Amino acid sequence: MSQTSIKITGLRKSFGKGDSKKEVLKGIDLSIESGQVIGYIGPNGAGKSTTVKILCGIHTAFEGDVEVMGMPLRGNSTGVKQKIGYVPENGALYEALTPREYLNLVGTLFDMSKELIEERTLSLLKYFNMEQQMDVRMNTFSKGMKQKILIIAGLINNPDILFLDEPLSGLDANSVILVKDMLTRLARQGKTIFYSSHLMDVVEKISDRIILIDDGQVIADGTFEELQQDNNVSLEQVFAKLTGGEELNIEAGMLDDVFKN
Amino acid sequence: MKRIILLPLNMVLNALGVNVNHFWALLGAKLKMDFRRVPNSFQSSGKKQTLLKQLIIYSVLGGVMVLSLYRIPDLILQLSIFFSFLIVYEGTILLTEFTSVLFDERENQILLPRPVNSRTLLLVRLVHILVYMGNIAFALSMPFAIYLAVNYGFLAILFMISALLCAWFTLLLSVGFYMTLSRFVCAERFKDVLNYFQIGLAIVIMASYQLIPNFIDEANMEQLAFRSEWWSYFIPSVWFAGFTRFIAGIGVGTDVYLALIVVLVTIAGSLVLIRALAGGFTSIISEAGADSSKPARISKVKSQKNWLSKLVSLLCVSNVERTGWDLAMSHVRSDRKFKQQVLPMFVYSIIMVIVFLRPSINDFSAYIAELGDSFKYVMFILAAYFGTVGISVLPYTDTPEAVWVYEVASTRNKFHIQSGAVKAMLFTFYLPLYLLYLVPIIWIWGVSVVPYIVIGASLSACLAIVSVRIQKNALPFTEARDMVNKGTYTLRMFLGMTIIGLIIGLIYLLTFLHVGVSIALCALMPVLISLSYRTIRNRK
Repeated sequence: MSQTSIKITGLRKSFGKGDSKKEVLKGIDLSIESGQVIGYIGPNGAGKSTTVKILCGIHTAFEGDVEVMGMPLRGNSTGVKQKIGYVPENGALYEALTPREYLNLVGTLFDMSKELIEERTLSLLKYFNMEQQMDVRMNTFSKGMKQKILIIAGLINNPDILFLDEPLSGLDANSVILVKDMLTRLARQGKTIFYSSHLMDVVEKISDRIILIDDGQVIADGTFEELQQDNNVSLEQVFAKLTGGEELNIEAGMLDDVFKN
Repeated sequence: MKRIILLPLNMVLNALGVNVNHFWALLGAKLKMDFRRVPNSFQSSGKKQTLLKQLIIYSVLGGVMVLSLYRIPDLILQLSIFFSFLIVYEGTILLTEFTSVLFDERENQILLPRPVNSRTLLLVRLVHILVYMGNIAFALSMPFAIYLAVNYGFLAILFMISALLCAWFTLLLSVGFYMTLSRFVCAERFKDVLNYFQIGLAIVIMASYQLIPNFIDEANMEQLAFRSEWWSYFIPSVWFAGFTRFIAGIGVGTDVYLALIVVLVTIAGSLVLIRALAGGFTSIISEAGADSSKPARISKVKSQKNWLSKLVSLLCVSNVERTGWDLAMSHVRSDRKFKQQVLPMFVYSIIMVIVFLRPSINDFSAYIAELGDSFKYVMFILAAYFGTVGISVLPYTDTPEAVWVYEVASTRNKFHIQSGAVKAMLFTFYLPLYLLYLVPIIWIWGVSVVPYIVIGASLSACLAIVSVRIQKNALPFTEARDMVNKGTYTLRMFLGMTIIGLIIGLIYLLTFLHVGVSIALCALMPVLISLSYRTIRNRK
């Protein structure tokens, strides 16, 4: 029997106060089984990253209940964090360090032994063809190289649940293939993958279940086949239909006027 | 060997509920990063040189302090005054420059998804700050330690230990206030009230410095002695003075109690802060970073008042300079850390005026009449120099990577951006402070002193403008808010004030001449200010 790895009940989150208060999440309810690959999609500003940040413990103030691997996130966040990996879109690196130093730090924070950290670091860097850069400071890296280190850091503790927030940002085509392959293998091992993105083709290929949010609410939830209204549309078309994107082509015509003069 | 040395420290960390491995790993990484320079074509000198230069200047400042202390024959009074100076200086730096480090949210995505507890996170930040505050305390105390070594021998080393302990105490005290506040204010609101709280703390710190004269018993420098009153034992600097004498084995009477207080306060303070108050720390930094994840919102753009817009255009010599002005102002409005660094300085300015003028409530009219006959209006010139702090803060930002804007800009006069930004700082912060001060000045001393104030204000402004050249190529918002740079603004303020002393001397000389001379000089001031701006603008 599969186990519930993430249970979210009535999740709400607001930013600001008074007149400028903006409710980003307006009551999300989800139950995710272990081993599922979840494609969490939605337009810009829909609340995807905010959901992920709450689940990873980056935003601590929220309304509602969140349970991860049977543990409530509130009051037990360090226990929850031992079991998760997080790959942000960008920026979360100590760039003055080398990959070896940084990954050693992250591994230490997960209470891993030095030997295990070193072993995983080497294996994962090799997987991403980055073993040559192991002792080079990351402030000289390209965006894609930094993104690979973020992915490795998210995997170093062998997490039960992996949260990925736009993980393919800045990666070249070969690296994208590597990441897709990696996610498929991790899912086969029974890990839960929570993949937040607006890149429909990847989500369509790797997800067991797709959750579409818009304006802080879940507006569609099911397998790709269930979301298809007829048999010949892509996920991109489903997305456009459900989020009002079909009207964008008309509005895009306005751009011609902008550059007239 | 290393393990044996670290064993007692690790026991303390365990007692505080801190994860020892996480603590050392994080602290080690932070210190390693501090001294690794991030390539940036607009940054000035290397980090190690910057730190070394700062420490030398702090030692000079400490030396000035020794010059005012060496004639005092009473050791406990010397020590009490020195520790008061140290607490006030370190408290000032902490409030203005390290508060933003304490609540820095830039590492949220690295640290918060990892299983690190709040106590460890808080203590790592505190010790990281202490490394720098300890360096400053060390450099400030060194000249006095040399003086003590010559006169009392071994006491000097124990004094240095006390000085470092005093730095830790100042840190505990200030952060303790912050964390206590976090118990009563929710994390979302904390960042909004932080500025007001900083101002409140700044008032307490500066006002407490005023207690010093009350425990001095004699007006004659050579006969000054410590006046022991029951309330003097509530003053932290007296505790540290007694502690130093006690551990040096030359303690008398109450020193044992004072030493006990120091030990108890630092141990109990650390325990309370880390064990009981650290809980809210993660929430605070988590919510401090929440702004960045807020979806883009179209804010109500307040159209600049027409007359103000015209005035700004008049004050700026080119469109690029005008752009620099606008850039600085939009940054000031949106950057919370900028406000955290600048606003407490205004409080220091106002408190400094009150301190120098020492208002007497008993016979207020006689006091005002006496004051009106004095030369004390120049104190406003000294205090108003705090209003130039915005200029020192200008080069620093959380996003130095945006420096590419200057690199690709097609304009040849990049330094017009800097002169525009400096103008904006003086117009927004410095000028209003003078306008505020003109009210009491005219009320107490009359309009006849206004020319002297104008000269003082203008020369101080010139000093602030020219000092931008010291920052070399640091264009606005191009340098990272590195730990190594911390302490710089406060230091610049205090160093600038020593030069203001010369300006005050000049004004004093002017008062002996006919007032017409000063009025004529006033007419020259715009030219002088304009020439000062040229030193920034006309660089290649």
